[in-house]
Amino acid sequence: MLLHVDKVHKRYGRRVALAGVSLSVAPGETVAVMGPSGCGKSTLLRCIHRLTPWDEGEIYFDGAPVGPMRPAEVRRLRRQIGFVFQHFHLIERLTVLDNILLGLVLGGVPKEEAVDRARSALARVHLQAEESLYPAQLSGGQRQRVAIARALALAPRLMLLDEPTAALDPILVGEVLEVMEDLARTRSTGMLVVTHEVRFAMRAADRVVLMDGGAVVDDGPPEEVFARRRSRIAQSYGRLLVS
Amino acid sequence: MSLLREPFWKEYVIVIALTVVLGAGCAAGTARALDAAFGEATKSLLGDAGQYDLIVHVRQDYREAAGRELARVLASRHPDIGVVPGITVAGNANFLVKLPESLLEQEALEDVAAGLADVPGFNGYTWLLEPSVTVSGLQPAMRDLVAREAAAVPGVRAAVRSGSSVTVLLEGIEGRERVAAALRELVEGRQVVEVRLPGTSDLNAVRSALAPFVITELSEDGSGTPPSLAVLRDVLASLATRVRVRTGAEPLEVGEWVVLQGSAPSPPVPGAPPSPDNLVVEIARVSGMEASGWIVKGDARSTLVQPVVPPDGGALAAAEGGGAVQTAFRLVEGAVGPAVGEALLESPRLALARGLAGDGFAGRELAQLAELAREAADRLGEMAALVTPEAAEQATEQRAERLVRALRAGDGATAVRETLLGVALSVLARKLQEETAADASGAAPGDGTAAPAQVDPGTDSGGPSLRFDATQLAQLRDSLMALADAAEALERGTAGELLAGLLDMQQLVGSLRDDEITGLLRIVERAGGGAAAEPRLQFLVDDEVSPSEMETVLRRATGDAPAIIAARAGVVNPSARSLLIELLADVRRSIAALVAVLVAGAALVLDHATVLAALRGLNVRSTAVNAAGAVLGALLLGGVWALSGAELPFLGTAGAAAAGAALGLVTALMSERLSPVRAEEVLAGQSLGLTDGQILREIVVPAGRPGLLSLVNRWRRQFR
Repeated sequence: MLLHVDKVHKRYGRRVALAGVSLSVAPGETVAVMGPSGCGKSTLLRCIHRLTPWDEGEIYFDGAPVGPMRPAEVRRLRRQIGFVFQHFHLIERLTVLDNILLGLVLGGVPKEEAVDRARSALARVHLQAEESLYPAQLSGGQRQRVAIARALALAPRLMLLDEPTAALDPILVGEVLEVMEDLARTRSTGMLVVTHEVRFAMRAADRVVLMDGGAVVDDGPPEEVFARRRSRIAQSYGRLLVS
Repeated sequence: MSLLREPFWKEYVIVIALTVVLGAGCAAGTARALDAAFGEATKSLLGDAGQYDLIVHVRQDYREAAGRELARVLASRHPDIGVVPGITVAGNANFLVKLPESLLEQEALEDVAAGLADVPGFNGYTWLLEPSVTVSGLQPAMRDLVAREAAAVPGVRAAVRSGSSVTVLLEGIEGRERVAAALRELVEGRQVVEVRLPGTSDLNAVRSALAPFVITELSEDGSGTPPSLAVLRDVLASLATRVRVRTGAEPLEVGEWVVLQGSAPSPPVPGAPPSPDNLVVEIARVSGMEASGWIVKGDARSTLVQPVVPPDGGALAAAEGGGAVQTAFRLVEGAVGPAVGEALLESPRLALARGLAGDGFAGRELAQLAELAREAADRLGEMAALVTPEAAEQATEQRAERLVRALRAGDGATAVRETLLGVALSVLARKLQEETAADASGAAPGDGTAAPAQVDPGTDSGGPSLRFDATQLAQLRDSLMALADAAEALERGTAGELLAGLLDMQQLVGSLRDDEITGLLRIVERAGGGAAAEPRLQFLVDDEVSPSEMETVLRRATGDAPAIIAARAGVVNPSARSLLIELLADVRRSIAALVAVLVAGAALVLDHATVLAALRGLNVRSTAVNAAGAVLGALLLGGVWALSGAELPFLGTAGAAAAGAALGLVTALMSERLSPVRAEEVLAGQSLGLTDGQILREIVVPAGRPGLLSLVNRWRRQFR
């Protein structure tokens, strides 16, 4: 198993964000995490990426526990797990190409190789022509694709995507979903995608994990999860799918 | 220490060190530049060391006339005295004076200084004698003592008194430390103790009780008040109408006011406010059932010329001696209250006037004195003509106060002081003569009728004359005898300011009412440091003597409840030039301090606020960030402070480091406002697996404020 989350708990003061969440992702597998706002989806992703500490339980990446890692190991882990944020988080003063090169070059990849890998990543998101532009010159969809390319360029074994289309104009959502579906189809990397896009889940995800109130309420192939409507949230998504 | 393994943090430490070094250079450089400018200013103000001996300050608008007169005055002392105009500072023109060797001894130097008062617009002087040591902050008597003792120290050429200082001119520079040490032992190991006593105190008993503590007594007239003021105060007090109240069941208290009928046709009505013709008396002393005080509103002269005697013929026996008796009413919240007793009014002025016209010893003596006074008053009239119109426009009371201050200040001009006192006495005497004449002819006092002294000595004019005691007469005679000499001395003077004071005194005393005399008495008492009723003694005692111990001894021996105030006997300073140079060095150190604070503040805001804000974004604990800010501030300000030689009063390097820590803490607390960091960019850097140093170098610092850190960081940055 590439990723295994084992009964992870996380509290913010009195508020329970994660209440014993367990899930796993196999290599090349795409898992969609769905659930209402505030159910702990984003917190789960931040814990996996060691951006937020958790209180109980353990997270294993490639069979090794993530919790006890030292800072250098955490940085290595992060280079193996790409992260795409809802609000892109691009460096505004750098060009598109430099944004992608940043992680590569500072991670020790030789400059020429880094440029090749960056351009290749840009090609996968169809943005070769925009490499010298600055983020402020791009549309929201383009920016998110740059963010995906930046994560992809590091050749991660797992990608965490935190509602990558939530901040986008509906017209621009399609181009990002298309890129994500392409990535899922190639199965070159495992993907854990937090999303509300039911159709994306149906088309591209191998499994759907439904969360509510900080806990996993259902986990399985999307057609089964939406068909059996085991939980209130599954019923909602099922209705959404039918409509 | 693991932090320092990252290149960014190594450079960060270098930036801190660079900031300290460059900041210190900047602060010290600014201070040195100012120092050079100050040095030039000092040279143009005082000349080179030893080049001049005296600097004379005159009002700027008198510069031309003063220069001419100064040259003349000094040439009259010695033909070889050189005078050079100096620069004008703060409304004062300065003249630099070089004295010949033969004048560099105490008497000659003090004589030169005394002559400066004749210079138009004269506004003081400063000795530049080199090498010298100055003792300042001296009481007049202490000043004379210090001058005497300093003159006896080997290596001292002259000890020159001026104002509250003694400038000690040395034989050679090598003796400076030794003489300074001797002077320090003289003044700094001692203290001046002022003993304020109740009016009833036996001063000799006080002196005996304190004898074991006392090195020497400094009181000049036995009361601690400067002599001229003491005499002036006594004269005024002896002229004011005295009121004694014998109370009934309810005694009065000091400070309370009572109302008397005065010259009003009927007694005061309880419940009504006092009328303008009533007299208001402030109680100054209470002894058992008898209280006494001074008239603070109204004038008793007309009451005493035609006294209102109560129907019962006078309750107080003393009234038969030549006063008036009236019922005293307590003044309650501005209105006449209940009667508290009988008041006796006595006017020494009227009694003296009657005495002037009398026969026998007192009459003859007073006739002679009056002749003397007339002569002095004539001279005064001539001198008063010199008063400028501008000076005459000023408020009389203000100038009277100023005159009293001038009297008190001493400033070495004893002749002028005594002159003023003498003139005051002569004016009083002349006024008395006028009153005498008015009494005799029936004219109102002060109408200018200068008839010969023909006053009915007996009861026809409203009561028998007061019998003078011999001491009182002798005192007045001595004062008036001194007047002739003093007035002559003043004739030579042209100081407009003092003459203005003279004219005021003439006008003021010439028309004094009782309440005005009381007002003037208060001014004199304030200036003299105390009321006549509260005698003061000054002693020089060892530094180790405790005032409270003296108080205990005094209380036990005399039963008095004194107030004892101790002050340092004096302070030994370097010469005026050294003092100025020291002052300028203080200014230089203060400027360096201000620049140090500016440098540290700028570095904290421009460079370090960005890093501190980023550390918060990198999930470093808030307390650690605040502590880092405090340490940074302490290092920066403390370092710049120490290296630049900055200094502020009560703030050394340790204090500066503490202030820097506070500044750094504030910067840390406000870092996100001072230098906002894009948290999402920091998060992106973390998600890409970058180190904190890489995030700071490539993401945070380039987006922060421009400063030394961003400049240094620019060289090592990979993404430009």
